[in-house]
Amino acid sequence: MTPFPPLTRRGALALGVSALLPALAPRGARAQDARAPRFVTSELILTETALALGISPLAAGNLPLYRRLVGVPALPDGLHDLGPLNEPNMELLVHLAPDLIIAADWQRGPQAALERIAPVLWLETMPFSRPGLEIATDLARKIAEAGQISADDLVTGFDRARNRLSRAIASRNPPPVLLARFLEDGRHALVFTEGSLPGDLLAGAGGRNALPGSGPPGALPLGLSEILATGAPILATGPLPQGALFTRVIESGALRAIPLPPVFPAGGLASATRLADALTTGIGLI
Amino acid sequence: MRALLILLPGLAALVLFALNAGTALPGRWPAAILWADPGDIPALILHLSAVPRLVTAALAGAALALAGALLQRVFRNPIAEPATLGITAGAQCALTLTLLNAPGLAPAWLPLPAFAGALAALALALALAALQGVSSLTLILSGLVVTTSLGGLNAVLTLFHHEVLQSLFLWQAGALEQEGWTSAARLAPALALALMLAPFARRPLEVLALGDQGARVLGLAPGGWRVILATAAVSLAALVTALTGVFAFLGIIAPLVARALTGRTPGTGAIAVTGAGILMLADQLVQLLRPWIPVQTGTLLALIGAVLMIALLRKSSQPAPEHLLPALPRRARPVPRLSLLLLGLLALFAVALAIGRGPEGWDISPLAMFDWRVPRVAGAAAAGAAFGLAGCLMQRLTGNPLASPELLGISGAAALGLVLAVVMTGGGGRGLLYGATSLGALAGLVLILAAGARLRFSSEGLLLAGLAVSMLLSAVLAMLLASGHPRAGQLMTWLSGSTYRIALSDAVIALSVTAALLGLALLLRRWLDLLPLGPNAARLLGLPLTRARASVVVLAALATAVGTILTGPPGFIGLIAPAIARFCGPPRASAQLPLATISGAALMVLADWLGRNLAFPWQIPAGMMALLCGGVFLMIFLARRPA
Repeated sequence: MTPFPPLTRRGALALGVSALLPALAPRGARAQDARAPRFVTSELILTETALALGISPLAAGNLPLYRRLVGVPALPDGLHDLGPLNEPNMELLVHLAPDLIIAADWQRGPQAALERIAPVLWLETMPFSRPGLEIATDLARKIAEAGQISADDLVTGFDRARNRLSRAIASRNPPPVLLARFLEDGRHALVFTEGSLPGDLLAGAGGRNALPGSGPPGALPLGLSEILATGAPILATGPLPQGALFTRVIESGALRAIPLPPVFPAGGLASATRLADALTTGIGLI
Repeated sequence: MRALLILLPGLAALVLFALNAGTALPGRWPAAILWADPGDIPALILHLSAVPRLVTAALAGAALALAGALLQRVFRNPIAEPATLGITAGAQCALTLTLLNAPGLAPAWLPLPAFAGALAALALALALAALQGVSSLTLILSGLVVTTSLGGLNAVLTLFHHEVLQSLFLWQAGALEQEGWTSAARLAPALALALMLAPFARRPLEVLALGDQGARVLGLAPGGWRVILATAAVSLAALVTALTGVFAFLGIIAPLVARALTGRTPGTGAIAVTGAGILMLADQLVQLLRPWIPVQTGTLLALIGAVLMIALLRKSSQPAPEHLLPALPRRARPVPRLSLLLLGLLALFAVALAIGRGPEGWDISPLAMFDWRVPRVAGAAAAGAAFGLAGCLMQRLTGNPLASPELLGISGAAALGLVLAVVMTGGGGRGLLYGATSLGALAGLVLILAAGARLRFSSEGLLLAGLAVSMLLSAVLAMLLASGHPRAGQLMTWLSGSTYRIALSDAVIALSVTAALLGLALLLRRWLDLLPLGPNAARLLGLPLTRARASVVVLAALATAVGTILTGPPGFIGLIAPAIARFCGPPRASAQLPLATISGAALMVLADWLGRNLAFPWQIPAGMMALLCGGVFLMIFLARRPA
């Protein structure tokens, strides 16, 4: 006796229909909560902010890159991929027919072609004209407004995290630190100065950066020797390098390097909150 | 005594090293070379970063110069280079794929995929060359096809994921930063082995220097020896590239400098010593300038090398033009197939406009998408037509079926013009971009032709000159990417050759300009019929040579610029479209020009349609799709050509 009943024609038909069901279900669900706008987000920071607010887009730009760089909040199942950030797929958008497109203003292009598909909420995402944190807060408010929900939880959550960081810095008065993300080659790192999210967070909380400001985008690729030559303690988002030089310097105790959980350094308020908490932990360990 | 002058670059590098070390560690640096106190960070940096860096530069420089010297003798060409056989592109692709798919891989293992990629590219190039009978032209051509196609693949990957490829950009720019002795320890045995084996290559090299005929007479199989020696040299270079980074042109600069210093033809040992000195010197210079100019060693070397390479073309003496690739068979009694091709183009238009993929799979759609597809299809057609026309003009001009905007680096020069304009002005309007791109194409074409005329338009000379321009472009791009220049991402989108942003008005303007250029070219049809006969015959038949060449050059440059602005790299269309025209129609210019133009348009429309649908919802830019397909097409085509 097999544990499975023999397949009859009727059974096969039922199976076929049930296979179709998942494809039909979202349409039904869509009809039910018709009041929530069906929207798409075309850039990582926009997707992150929307998901952190608790609303999910229909489709978002470059899902693999989101998973790799942002990761949290996790992408819900069934999200469509709009493709590369600089070229969201127009034809897919026409098929999806969203009520609203939330896009970054740098994606506008001379023709603002997205506007021919649906109303577009153009939002500033790059920290070129004003600080990244201001932009992140603004994004949270505007996306919440578009989704007819409140951004207060997200904003106050971040404020609390920032206050914790300020208190940690005030109480421990750490020396100037380097904020870095080491690269895969083990010989270089991106070092964050003011103008980047990590750099602005540190400066805003009263901390001192060992690398003077360079303006946006505030991330300089530096060699390991240049980094160590500053003699400043290192707070690294992500793993530390394992090479001979770095290991010897750290083992000698002449310099502290603290690995922190990886956080997207160009993210929105959710990333900023996690980054502030990570920095608080790091400052405590220096 | 003068032979000792080859030590000069190395000595200069050591003086600069002392200067750099003295700044970092006044008074204490000599001691720190040998030993560093564990708690003394500056001393540790010197001991475990600066000193290994100097040694790595010396080893890498010697190995690359040695490999270059060997290849130049194998190819009997003073500007052959390890990169000629595709290793840089192969290593690059493998490294990109590794960084994207295995981000957690330990740094010590990263050179392994890079080395494997380089060797795979080399194997592909050799296999292609072997299928046609190994000669120095087939080797260079195969290497170039492999390099360009892999370059296209890599550009797609980089474009989509440049946010996570910072390591790749630094490697590409030739950053020599070290974190211990790992790289040096891996390079040293390979270089030692190569130096030990080098004397055994002397006799075959001497025989190869007599030419293939001479070698055969002396009982040596020239093809086999070429493959063995080239493989050995390129493997060594591949190892260096994988372990340290991209240092283009070193193999060309080193023999040149050695000859200039000693005043005679240098031996392999002398070239290796000079190469070591040059790389050390360049690297110390970069460290000295670092506070003011954040340039990496490989970039500095490439900038110097490209200039030298183009200048050097003057001095080489080349055999007469070789007509090796008109190889698609010519019809005995050619039937004009213009109408058939036009019909095919119309059918392609229909497919490209009506069929596409949506979230639920393929659909034959509806007018709904026409709005979105018309500008893209029209833009692709305009660009392809322009490239087809440019290729046809250049082949007529040089009498060489390999002449085309991509292989001669004209499109690279056009792109360079665009890049420089954007970086210097920080954006700029359409007019400026068109102007800069046209100017770049024109400068590139004049430069290549000036060099090419001295070489009597031989295929090898033209191809290598084109390679120099392409490498210059990649060096400049690598520098921008490695420095995290805020415009880098935007530039890559431009250079990717996407039809995404083409407005209908742009496409219409480009189509009209291309049609006008075709019309002008048709007015020159008598000149274009005579030019391929060579300067002497043409002059005898009453051709005003200078005026004719200048007019055709300007037309070809304008056509290349039109295409480059719209879709970036021509993706072999400038090479393939004229080949199709030769297959389809009579050899008269009045027939070939429209045929090449139409074939070009059809190919690019096809590439755009494939690019939009193959990876839906991701879109592979038309220019890159054309490059990938064109590369595969050329490989098959080369492979099928009887020896």
